[in-house]
Amino acid sequence: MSIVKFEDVTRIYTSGEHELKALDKVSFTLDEGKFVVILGPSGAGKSTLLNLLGGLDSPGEGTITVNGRDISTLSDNELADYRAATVGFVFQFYNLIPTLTVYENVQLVSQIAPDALDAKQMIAEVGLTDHLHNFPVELSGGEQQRVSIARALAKNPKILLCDEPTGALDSETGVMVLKLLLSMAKNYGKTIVIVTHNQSIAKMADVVIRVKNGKIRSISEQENPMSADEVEW
Amino acid sequence: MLTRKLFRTAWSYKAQFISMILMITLGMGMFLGFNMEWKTIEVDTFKFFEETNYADYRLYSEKGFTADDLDKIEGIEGVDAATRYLSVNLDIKGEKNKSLALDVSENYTVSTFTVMDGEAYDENGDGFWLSDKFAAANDYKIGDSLTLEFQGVEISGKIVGLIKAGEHMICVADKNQMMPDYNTFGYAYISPKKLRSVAEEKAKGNAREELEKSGVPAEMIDDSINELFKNGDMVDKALNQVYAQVNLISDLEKSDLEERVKDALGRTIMVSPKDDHVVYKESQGEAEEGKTMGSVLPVLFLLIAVLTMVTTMHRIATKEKTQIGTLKALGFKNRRILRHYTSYGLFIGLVGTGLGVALGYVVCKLIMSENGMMGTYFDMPDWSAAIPAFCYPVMGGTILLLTLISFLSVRQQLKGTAADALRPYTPKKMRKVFLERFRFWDKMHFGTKWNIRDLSRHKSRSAMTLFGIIGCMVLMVGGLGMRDTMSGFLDLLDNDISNYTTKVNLADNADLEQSKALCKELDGDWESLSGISFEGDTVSLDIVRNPNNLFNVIDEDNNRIDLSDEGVYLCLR
Repeated sequence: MSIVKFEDVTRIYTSGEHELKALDKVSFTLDEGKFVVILGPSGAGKSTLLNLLGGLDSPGEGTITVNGRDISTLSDNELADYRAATVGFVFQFYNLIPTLTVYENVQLVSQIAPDALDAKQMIAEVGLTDHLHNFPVELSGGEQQRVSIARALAKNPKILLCDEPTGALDSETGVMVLKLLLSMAKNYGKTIVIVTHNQSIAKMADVVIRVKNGKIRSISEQENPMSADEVEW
Repeated sequence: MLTRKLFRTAWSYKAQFISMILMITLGMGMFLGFNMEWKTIEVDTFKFFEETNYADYRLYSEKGFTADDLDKIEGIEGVDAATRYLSVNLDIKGEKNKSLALDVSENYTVSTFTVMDGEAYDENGDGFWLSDKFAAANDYKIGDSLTLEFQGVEISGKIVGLIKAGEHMICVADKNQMMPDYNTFGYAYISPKKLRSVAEEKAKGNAREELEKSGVPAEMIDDSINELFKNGDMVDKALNQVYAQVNLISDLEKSDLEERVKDALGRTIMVSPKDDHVVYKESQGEAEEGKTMGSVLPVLFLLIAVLTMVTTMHRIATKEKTQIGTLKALGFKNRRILRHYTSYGLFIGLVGTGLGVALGYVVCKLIMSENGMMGTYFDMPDWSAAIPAFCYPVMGGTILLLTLISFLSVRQQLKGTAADALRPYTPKKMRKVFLERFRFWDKMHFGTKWNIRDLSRHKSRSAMTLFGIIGCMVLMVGGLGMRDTMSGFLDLLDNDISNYTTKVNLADNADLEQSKALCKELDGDWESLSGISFEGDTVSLDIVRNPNNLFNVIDEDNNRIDLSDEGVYLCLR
């Protein structure tokens, strides 16, 4: 059953007299519960694609349907509600609030997400119970990314959107974070979309969407994706 | 949760937050302090004047006022109360360089006093009600004896009460004394009955002298004096000369009162409104001075504080951009994020204004309290701290303005999509500056070019910084300049205008030849003051002979004027 449907989505950025077509009539569908990797070089349009899917941006043309709802025409407030209820973000640089503790960072989303999960439980699941009252600056990069995953999942979203989640981590920590991400997504039955330029991560995906110059070059399904341990970085 | 974030963010930006709060505190404190000062002067002096029935007008007559004159003045429509009044500076017997203004309010309806300690006023009392400040400075206590010398007669009695009087709220011996000095000059009141007995003694002494001069045999003098003073007419006559002043309370205009007094008494009387009285004039002057101070320097201070807030808040909002974007990406609505970040300005405004009110109170009290700066100038019983009504909207407005500054700074970061908000701050697009069109640009040092481009890129921030520095310089030059101006003014007064060390006051009936001889002996200059009628107004005529330039007049440019014997010199104002 498809959870995401892009139909002829175009996004053009304008800067003065210059126009940049970041996405050009992109169409695809994603099934629920799948692990999807969007792969492409820098400037290919993959982050734009993720932003549109996450309701952080709106397309100029085309429609985006998520969980049966057209999000391409939503107002700012409706998009905020959509982000609060439907998607969880994991950013490359974690984007934790530095003045809130680990617990507070995760607990924060309970103020906006209608079906939020217990913050302490989520922190326990990412193995950071001992750091409940630490501030982000007191944690390593890998630990911060685990907090970010706990925060994203604490919203109990339909889709987990990850923008280069291992981009700022060393390979060992990256593998650990990916394993955690995948196992938790699986445990909670979430669709997970990762945007990356790392070919290795693509080997773990159920679906790989290759993007270049704002267009989809290929969509391939992998029957037997590799586990994180099998992938060579 | 976001409230915790507010306090922790404030702590993480403590340098910025503390500087913003400090600037608002200082700005608000100075603004309130200076404005509270003049308002408190107005409120406290008005209250004291009301309590002590401070006179609206003083009528002066060299011939004095009779009881009949007073009845006529009291009968004038528009005169609420009037009293014959005496205020004369007298030396204290047995003390060197100590004198008192001795006052008597005959019917005690006008120009009264507040008893701080001791007996209440008694119109038949025999003692002195002495200035409490003078008593404290000279170690006088209730029950101590005091003797004053009045035209050859001694006035003795015990101190029965310690007082404060509106008439002497600024206790100076005359208009030339700048500041009160309670070590050398104070004031005291006696009852009219005591004054009458003094006048009787003096009149009898004068009569005895006359009788002796007339060759009346010594054994008959006492009987003659008893006969002369049997019905009290002689004492009344003597008192009429002593009471050279009538103090009254009236809402009439000066010109109107002058006319009515002239009609009632049949002669021109010098009418002096309270605005001319040193106490009222100086206290109003202080209040006006405070108003000027309060409306210029502190306003500038407050403005600089607000400008600091604009630049610092903008910088914080820029630094917080990623967090603002993160909150937006998580699903927080714009208004919630705005509310959160706007609370930074509100927090700074509330804390800064709250501390500013406290600082303002301290500044006000430093100036306006018995032990403060004005405590040496004003002598009054109550020292409050009054806030002018317009300060409340200014306080509220400042808090609102600071909140608005935060709101606008954050709203700028929230513009566009959540994806835009998540992107790090991108500096404005750089364009070539105007100066680059000229050849000399290429010859400029690399660092200079860089600085000019930076200034050009942050135009509003540069302008605000420039304005802030200009404002600070204005404050500094103004503050130091004010001190220099005051010391220049004092130099002018002490060296160019009043170039003397001692002033000798002569009695109205002093012998002219003796007076001239004294002046010659002391190698002094002399002046004579008298009230005259000039084009319908009563003005003070000052006749001056100043060959030694001990007393001088100056022109608009502060240059000394050599007085010629021709014509009259009119006061510039």
